[in-house]
Amino acid sequence: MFEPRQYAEWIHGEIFQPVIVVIGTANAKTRIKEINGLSLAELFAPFGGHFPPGISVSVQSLERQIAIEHFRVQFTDADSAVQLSQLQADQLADWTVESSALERPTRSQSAKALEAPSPWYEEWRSALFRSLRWSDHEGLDQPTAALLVVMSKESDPAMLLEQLLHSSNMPPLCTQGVLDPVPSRVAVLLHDASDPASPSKEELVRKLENLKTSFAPNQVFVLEINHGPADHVEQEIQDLFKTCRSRRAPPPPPAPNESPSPSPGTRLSQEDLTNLAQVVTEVVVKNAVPWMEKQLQQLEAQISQSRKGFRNQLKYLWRKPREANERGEVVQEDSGAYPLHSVEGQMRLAGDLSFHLRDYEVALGYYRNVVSDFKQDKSWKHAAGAYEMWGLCAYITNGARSEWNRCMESAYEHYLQASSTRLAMRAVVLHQAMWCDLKEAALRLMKVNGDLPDNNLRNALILEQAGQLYYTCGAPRKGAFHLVLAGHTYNKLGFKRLALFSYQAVVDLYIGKGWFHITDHFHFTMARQAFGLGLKDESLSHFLKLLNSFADADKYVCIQAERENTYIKEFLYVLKDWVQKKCSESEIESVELQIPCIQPEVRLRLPDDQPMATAMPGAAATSPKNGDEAATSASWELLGEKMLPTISPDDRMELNWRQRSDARIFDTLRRVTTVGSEVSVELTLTNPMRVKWEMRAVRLTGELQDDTGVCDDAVMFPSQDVTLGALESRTIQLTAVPKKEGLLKIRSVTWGIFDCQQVICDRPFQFKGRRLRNTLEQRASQSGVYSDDLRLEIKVRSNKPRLSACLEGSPELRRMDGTQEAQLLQGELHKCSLVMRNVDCPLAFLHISTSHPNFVAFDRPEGNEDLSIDFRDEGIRLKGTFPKELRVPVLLCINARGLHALRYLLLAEAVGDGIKSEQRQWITLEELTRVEPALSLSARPSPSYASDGRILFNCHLENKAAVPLQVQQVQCFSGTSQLQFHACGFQGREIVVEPGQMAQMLYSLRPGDERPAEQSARLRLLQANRKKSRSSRREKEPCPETVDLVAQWQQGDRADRTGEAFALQVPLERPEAPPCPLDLHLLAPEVAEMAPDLLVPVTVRIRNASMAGSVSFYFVAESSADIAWIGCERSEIISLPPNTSHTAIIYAYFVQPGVYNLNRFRLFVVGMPSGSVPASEQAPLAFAVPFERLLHVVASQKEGTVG
Amino acid sequence: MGSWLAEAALVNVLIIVGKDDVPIYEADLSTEGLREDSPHLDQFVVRAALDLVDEMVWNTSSMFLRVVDKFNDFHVSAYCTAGHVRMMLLHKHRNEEAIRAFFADVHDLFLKAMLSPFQTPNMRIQSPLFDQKVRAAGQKHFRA
Repeated sequence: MFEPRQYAEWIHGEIFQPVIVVIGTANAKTRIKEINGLSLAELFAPFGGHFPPGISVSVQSLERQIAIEHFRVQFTDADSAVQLSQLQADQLADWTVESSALERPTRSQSAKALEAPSPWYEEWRSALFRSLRWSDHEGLDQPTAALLVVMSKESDPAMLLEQLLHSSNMPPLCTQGVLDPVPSRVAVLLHDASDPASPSKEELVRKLENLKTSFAPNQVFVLEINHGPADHVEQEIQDLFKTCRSRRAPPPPPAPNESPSPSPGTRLSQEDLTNLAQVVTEVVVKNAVPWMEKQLQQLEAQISQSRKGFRNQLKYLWRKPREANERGEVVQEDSGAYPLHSVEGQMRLAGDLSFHLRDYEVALGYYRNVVSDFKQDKSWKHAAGAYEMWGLCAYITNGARSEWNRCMESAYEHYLQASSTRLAMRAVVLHQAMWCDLKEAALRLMKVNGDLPDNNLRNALILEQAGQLYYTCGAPRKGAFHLVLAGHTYNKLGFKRLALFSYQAVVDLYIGKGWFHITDHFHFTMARQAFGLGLKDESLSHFLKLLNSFADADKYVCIQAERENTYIKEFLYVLKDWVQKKCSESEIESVELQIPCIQPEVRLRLPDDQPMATAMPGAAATSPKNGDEAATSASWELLGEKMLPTISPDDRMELNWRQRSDARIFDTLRRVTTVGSEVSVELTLTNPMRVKWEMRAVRLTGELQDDTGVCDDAVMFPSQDVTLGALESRTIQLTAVPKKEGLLKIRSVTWGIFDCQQVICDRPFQFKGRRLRNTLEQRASQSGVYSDDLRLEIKVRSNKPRLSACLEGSPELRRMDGTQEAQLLQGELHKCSLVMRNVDCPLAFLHISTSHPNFVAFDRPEGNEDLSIDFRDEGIRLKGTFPKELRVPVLLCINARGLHALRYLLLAEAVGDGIKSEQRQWITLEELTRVEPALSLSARPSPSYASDGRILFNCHLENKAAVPLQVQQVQCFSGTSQLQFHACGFQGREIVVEPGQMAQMLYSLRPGDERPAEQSARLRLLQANRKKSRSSRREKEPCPETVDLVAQWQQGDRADRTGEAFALQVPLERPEAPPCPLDLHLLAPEVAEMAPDLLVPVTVRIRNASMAGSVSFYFVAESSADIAWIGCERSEIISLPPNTSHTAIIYAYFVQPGVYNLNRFRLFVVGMPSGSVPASEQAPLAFAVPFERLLHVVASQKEGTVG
Repeated sequence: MGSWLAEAALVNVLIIVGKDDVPIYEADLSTEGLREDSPHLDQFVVRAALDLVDEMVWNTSSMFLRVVDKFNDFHVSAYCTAGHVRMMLLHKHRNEEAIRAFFADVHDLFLKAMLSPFQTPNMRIQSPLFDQKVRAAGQKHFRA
């Protein structure tokens, strides 16, 4: 947009200039075209005031003298002085815009990309102005001079000049009478110094004199040119003519059969330029401008004659419109121009000449006066033209804003009314260049866009211009949208470069803000446009961004599968084309494609690790159930410490990793594997798209480094093909096999994309280690400072055991009719084997330990006499010569119900002098076992029958299993000896305990009658259980002499299901009751007769026997199936001072006759005298006073007495 | 056969735009049928209308800003909450009272969704319940 002064300069410099018509002989035209590569008009054009020093003139307008500093004229070949047709104008506009965009390939990336106007808009605007020259509704192109050019070598220049003077050589508008056909005339005798046929100096002078005589009073100039060399043209001269030619409008591209012309300005020297400038200045100053002054005065006189004066004014009031001519024929609207002899035509021409001479007030007066005539005649085009110039003059003369706005809008409307859309567009463009509110200008453009519905280049440029104006005036989102619309329109019209520029200019305003549909549209469209322009790299980059956006977790939008399929198809097409152009057949290119997604959890699996599939066998089926006992296991680290008291840090970290699987440990830990072993990397691939994704030859990449550096071909990476369905996630294992010692670094995973043979997708593994917070910088860093993650850096060693181990015969899950059956019964004896296979590596030792030594016992392997075996608390240790396969018998006897994770840790160390931690192999095995309840055994010595030297044990057996269990025998152990244990009264009888039943048996033990027990796995299990039982006992408790009882059982007649129930640490003497501060007395009858409503009163008397202080307590009466207590079975808390007693009466109810022990009372002390054992209501001390108070309930007399 | 017989869809696209022009919720409440728009065009039009919302919000004390912008046959109605969260509805048919009631319902639902401790301000609303209720509100006001 221009200020009025700038606007005037722009108008006179670029758009409306006085015209000098150049008419030359055929020889002159041909010679200049062939030698200089120019037309005659182009030869003079640069000197028409367009370049310094310019032409300064002083003009005499009607009323005043005006000095013009930079007066400009334009030279036009007479034979090209016609208006372009619509088709030609469109071609010119298309070519102009396309070539302008081609010259500015980086415009869209510059900061000015969103500033109005864009360079192609300016050039299109210039092309529009040029295409509308020589219009019959205006006199702006009135020739002010005719330059008649003849060559000096021509035989009769005078005669040729006479021919050139003929009016038929003038532009068509002059011959039609619209413009004055007789401008000032100047003859130019063109002397080509390079032409050998040119006359000599004397001859030239003679010809000139002849011409001056014959051509008088018109001026004649001689112009000598082509003094320069034939093979060289100065760049400055060439640029001068090129610039001028571009300013004059680049012509449509030459036809293919047109012969190439020399560079513009060829053969011209600085001397020639000086000559040209002198001639042009003379023509302008002495001919064109005086002619204009003279013509203006003549026109003014003619107009005054017909319009000025009272008589003319009155006559004008009765002026008839041009609808009907003199003969009464109706004239069509806009059917013809106003000839120069009409007063309207004269007024228009006078206005245009005044405008050229910068007398805007006079011009404004003419336009203002003539517009009403045009409107009255319904000559909308002429009226629009007059309004247009009126608006320009009003703006340049700083007229009222409303005035020039109204004029320009009227011009636009009238042009539309006259169906002159190009001229209407010119009016809009001229209006746009005036200084006004940007938003208003943008709205005006959008209105024009709606009025001109043709979907052509003009619409695209209007949208672009409107978008830039919106953006500049503070509506960036609306501006961006209009630029997108412009890009869309450009694309439809085939201007792919401009379309791409429009999209590129605004892409950053949209991307990354969550408008995913827009983002996809941008990338897809720009990729297509770039591909259409041959920008393969850019196209591929946009396709990659488009596809990679699917990996964005925030991208939740639902896109149709069909559309995704289109994306992939076109991506593959571009990819194939790109790789074909980029590299030869043998080369491989990689692209950064993030599809499919690799989940961040990437695990390294070495052969020592338990496979995921077997690590938790039947995990779902064996998940803990309600009521299971806690199934905790010792950590691998703890087991390792038991094996190696001085465990190295590397070993500790290795076991720690197996225990916790915490990846943070890999900031320090590098795992160790053996040469030739498979290293597996487990990763999960996810296809986020709704179309199938084919991955060809998926493999790892990496390198193996040793002391000498990176080794070639030292690692083998097997590959596999993977196809992921729509939205599918799959976990795959990729392997690497190192062939020699060193440090294996796995770098990335690669795969081929569909069927593109030469393109791979290379996805480096990027792991963050532990967040470092040691220094201030590390803590202050916003993105965080992380340690290196070494999980995929593996030490490869040759001297490391390659042992494999598995547990054979472990209890299996048994199912029957879809229901789950117990794996093992509590205490069931189950034999299995730990099988180890060694591969060609001599072992220094092998150590096996288990997390549950009380459940698992190892036995001596059979047939391996060379091995020395050391049974330890946590397992066994083997030394010696190891066979290739070693089977260690394992006896399971799990005496606790619930789900148990039994762990086996194996440590094998190779023979050698290297770093021990790198020569060790740790194998971790874990088995989940569910144990259901079975037979339980509890025993206590009976005090009643200890008089004859024997000790009687009251053994209580309860079957908690769902199947009947047969008790085979009960054994008694003490230390490593087995004691003679005799059943009392049921020798030789099989005792079968049904499910839910209990059995009580008496056994007798005679101390001293013992023999050494057999050293077996069973005994070791018993000892381990005994040890654990002892460790759980409080140390302060006195340790009486005890024995261990073992009841052996069998499930029915199934010999394969046998087991043992332990009663451990059974004291040989009855434990003394703890000192109770309370005495209990029960007062009740000794005999009672059975009756339906028999209630026996029992008086409970409790006395505080302590002298230390008060005792707080409550008592509880325990009910059973045969006796029930009527009344409160639990008393309130009673506080008894020393030596006082409390009495309560409670009633007993019996259901059948018999002898009953009434002492079923337990005392709970909640407060003791100070200094005694602390007690509280939450943790009361429980006491049962050990005496029997028997009551004989006799049967009724009617029924008889029992026993 | 039959494509020209199919009825034109009743287009109603709701986009809730949070701070920094980040869309935090989108729902296409249109009926089935022929459509002239596409998902990206809807987003373009709605986003372009935000400039006009920024202007109009200072000219009225009402949260409902009525139709703020047009593009071809499409209208954009807007509702700006006190926290300057803008609810934009792209629609073809003008039914101001229904749109006003719909925005009021969505505003209620939006406030409830924002009160959820699991919802971060200016982040995508991914609550299925919210989505379900907004769609129900759309059905209630635009298809009744």
